[in-house]
Amino acid sequence: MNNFHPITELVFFSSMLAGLMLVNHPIYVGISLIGAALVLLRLKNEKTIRRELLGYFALFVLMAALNPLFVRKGATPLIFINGKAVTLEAVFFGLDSSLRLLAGIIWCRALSASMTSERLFCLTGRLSPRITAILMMTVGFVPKLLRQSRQLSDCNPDNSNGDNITLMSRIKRKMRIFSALVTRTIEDGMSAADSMSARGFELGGRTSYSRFRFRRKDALFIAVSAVFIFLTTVYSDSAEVSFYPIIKFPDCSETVIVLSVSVSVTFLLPVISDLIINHKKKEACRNGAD
Amino acid sequence: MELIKSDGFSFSYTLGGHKILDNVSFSVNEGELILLCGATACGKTTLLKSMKPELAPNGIRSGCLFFDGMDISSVPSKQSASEIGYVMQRPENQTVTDRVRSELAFGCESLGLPQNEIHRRIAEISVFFSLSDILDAELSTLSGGQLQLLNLASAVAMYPKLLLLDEPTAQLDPIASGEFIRTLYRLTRELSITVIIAEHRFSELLSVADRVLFLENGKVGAFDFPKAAVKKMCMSPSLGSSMPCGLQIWNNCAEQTGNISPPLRLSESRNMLRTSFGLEGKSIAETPGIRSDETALRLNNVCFAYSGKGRDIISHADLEVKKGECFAVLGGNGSGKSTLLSVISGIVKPYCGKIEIFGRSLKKSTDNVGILPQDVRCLFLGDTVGEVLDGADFSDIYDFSELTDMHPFDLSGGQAQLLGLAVLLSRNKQIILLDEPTKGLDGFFRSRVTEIIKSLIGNGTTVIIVTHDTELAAECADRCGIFFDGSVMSVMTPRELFAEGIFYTTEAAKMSRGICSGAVTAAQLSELCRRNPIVGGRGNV
Repeated sequence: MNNFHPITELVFFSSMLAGLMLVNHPIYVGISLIGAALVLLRLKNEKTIRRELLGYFALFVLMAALNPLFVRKGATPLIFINGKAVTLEAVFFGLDSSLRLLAGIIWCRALSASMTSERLFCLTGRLSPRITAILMMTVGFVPKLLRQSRQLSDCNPDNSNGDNITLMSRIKRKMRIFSALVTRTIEDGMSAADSMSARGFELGGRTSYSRFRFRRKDALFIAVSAVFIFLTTVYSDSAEVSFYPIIKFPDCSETVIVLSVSVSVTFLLPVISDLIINHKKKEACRNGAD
Repeated sequence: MELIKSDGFSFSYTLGGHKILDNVSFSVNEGELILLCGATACGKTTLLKSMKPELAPNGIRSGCLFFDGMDISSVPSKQSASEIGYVMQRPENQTVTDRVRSELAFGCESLGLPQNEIHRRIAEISVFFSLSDILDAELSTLSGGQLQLLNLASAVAMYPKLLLLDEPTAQLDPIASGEFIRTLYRLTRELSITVIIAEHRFSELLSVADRVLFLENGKVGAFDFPKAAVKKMCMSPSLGSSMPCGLQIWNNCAEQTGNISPPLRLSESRNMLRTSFGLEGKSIAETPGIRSDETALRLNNVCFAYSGKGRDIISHADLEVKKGECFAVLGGNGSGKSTLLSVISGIVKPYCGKIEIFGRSLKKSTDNVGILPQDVRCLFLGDTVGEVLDGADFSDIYDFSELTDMHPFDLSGGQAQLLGLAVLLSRNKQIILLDEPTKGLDGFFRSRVTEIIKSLIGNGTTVIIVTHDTELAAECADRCGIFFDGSVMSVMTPRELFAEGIFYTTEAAKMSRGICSGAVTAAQLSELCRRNPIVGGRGNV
């Protein structure tokens, strides 16, 4: 995943999300969800991600349960609560829509895991190099601010004058630290501004540099995503599942198969290619070490 | 071919006001390394900024400044941005991005260069400055020395003809400082880039500079080869006392040394000691330190690490400091000396071991310990100097009366350091921790800080100093230790420690090793030389 150009990643994730928005067939959505989880695990194989996924599953159960409790449409009642019916259609619709929502959340999580600040700046750099420069400064600015705030707090402890610590003195101290922090930030900002103008920031015609190269496989993956979007747009209406008043599946099952296959291919390609490359690397290193 | 030429250049902020620069004339050829020196407020920064159109101060000018044959004000902005580079004092304030690669690319992007060209320049520059390994590192993980080299690299990536540097090594430790200066030398010799560098600590620069421009009160005191300029610098009232040890001795004992050229290198200084003075077998008597028996601070098997998986910054450290003693901790950059102070002052807690202040554990007595941090501005919580001082009188430290309405951040480095000391002393702590108190200070303020520390010790305050400045340790400390491998080791008196080491030692000790013993400070060596001249001029070589 680290070998792709940011624009490829953007197109890939947008197409996955667009597909989810267009199609609501449960089989398709289920496959898309599995794909999202696979891609996320491929990007960040850590214990916290697995715990996160469990958290998402709990959220899914909660959302799925809420729909039938609030929506009373549907033809087949199951049980009666407070004189109102909980219908089968509402249950299934709840399951389906929360599945969709969950898939969307996990795709977005995968997008944020793969889109580091460097990749984002590569994309915005093409649009506006000056804004990119300012964004870069902002990204570095926040941790610096936190560090300085902690430093100020450490060097000026509560009881520095040996007096009693009251609530008022604590509040006063915090406010003075905040004021000093703002002053320092402005002061440091002026040095940074001098440094920037010394290196020509005020000249017109700024370009933007990024280390990502657009390669053949980027073109290939964008083409695959484009084909997928095309197929989805064409077949989405005919794969529509309606839930109210009764559940109705689409007539021709081949549209569903086409959609499911195309989405699987689209998200499996990067995952499999990543696995293959890692395998090749390990093989080569092992052979080289002999 | 003259690259920079100044013809009677004068500058003042207001019409008829005090002249910051007065009739300054000099000319610099391509590929020369020029040392710009002088006491604080002599006009160095103003001169450097005037040579960089983007940063030039607004005011009244007379005379001319020429760059590459053109008047400096008519140099096109693209040319002045790329051909004149500027590096300032504080490394962290000059970087604007979050990664090394994008910082290197910053200047090139401003010039509108295409991707391939920027890529090529980054490749070249990162190899020249040995930054290839850290190209994708985040800036927050770099040390001060690396950051300053990065700032220099970022300026060089724009292919400048002239580099202007304003005290770039002031905030760096000696190793990083030496590396930076050697890189500048390589730039002049290998790439024929002209370098003008303003510095306070110029002993290493004197031996590599092509010429020295010495400013005194805005006027040119000397513009000459180092050996010739140094003669005038030694005699000037503003700079005379901050000259390197060898040159001070050369100047003070002119009758003995009059026939030899000023010693710019260590070997020349040692030769001077051998030929002009009869120091064989002489030594300085050891002065016994006044020490009480009460233990002010005791560390027992203290261990500390920043994270559970990280390595121990402080590992089984033992330390005992008596009341009224001055203890200096030396050590490499990043070795953990500042962390030691944080642990002693209670800012961070060790995961094992005991810390006792006057016999009681640290938890109950944090208000006995005060710390002066490396960045002294952390102590300034008011908007004016008067507010920061809170009405207290510190005229024995420095005359703050003229500065009462100024903002603390507008003070010079030395004034800010003294103000920080004043704030710390107003808290009346019995144990004072100083983190690099003489960093970046010029001669006058350095000696002020040294005097204040000595008077503190005289009053019975326990002082622990963490520093790279071996001269400070030699002058103030009763005992010194080296922080290495997580603990304080080699605890000895300065006299013993500096006689042994080759790096943790003072200029005076390096000069006099093997010739005489016991002289670790410049003052001691000067005194010894003064008392033992060779009658008739030349001695045994």
